[in-house]
Amino acid sequence: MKLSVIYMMNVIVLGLFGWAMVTYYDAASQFQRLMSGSGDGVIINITPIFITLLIVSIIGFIITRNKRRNNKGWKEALLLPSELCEDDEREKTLTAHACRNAYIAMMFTSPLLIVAMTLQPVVSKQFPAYPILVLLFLPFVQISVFYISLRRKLR
Amino acid sequence: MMLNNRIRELRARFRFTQQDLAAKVGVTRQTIAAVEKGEYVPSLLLAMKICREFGMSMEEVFQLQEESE
Repeated sequence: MKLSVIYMMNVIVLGLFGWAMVTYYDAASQFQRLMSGSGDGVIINITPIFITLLIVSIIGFIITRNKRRNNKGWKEALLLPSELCEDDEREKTLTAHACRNAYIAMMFTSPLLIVAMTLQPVVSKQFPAYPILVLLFLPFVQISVFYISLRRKLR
Repeated sequence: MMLNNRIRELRARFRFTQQDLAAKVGVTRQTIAAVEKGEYVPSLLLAMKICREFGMSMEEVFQLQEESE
């Protein structure tokens, strides 16, 4: 499977997961108000969760079937990310290089995200699910850096 | 320091395609292409496997070259 397709699928899944978690976060806030006696119930919008589960299942099925066709074992097909399925030593070297870059990106991004989290009391009034967005930014950066590193090496 | 190789020339002489050689030494075709172009320096194990397929010594297939040469 093409690297760009895998990257797009990862970003879509990450975005959908964030969307579903925002809904959960909203429900948790309602539950918290209910427990403190100021709320009158919990309403969960199941549309994001349903769409996320549906699309993740479809993408998971396509990726797993694709890996099984490439003679990968069930364990590797189900659990190992597609971009880490290396066929030889050169691909292992490229992956190692991309992982190194993703790790470096994490070292720079993490402190920035922690700083961003300190804004949570200010931002949470307008956007309650702000921490989820901040937390999702880290895997997004790592996936993107990994993808860009591989693309540069494969060019 | 660079590692030059004669894989392309030897492949032509032995009438191997990149895919043939790749299958014989257990790597992908893209890896053979990258080694031929000098974009990837193979491991000692892969280099020895390639030499074995051509029935040659390491020095006959791979040559170390100074950057300024």
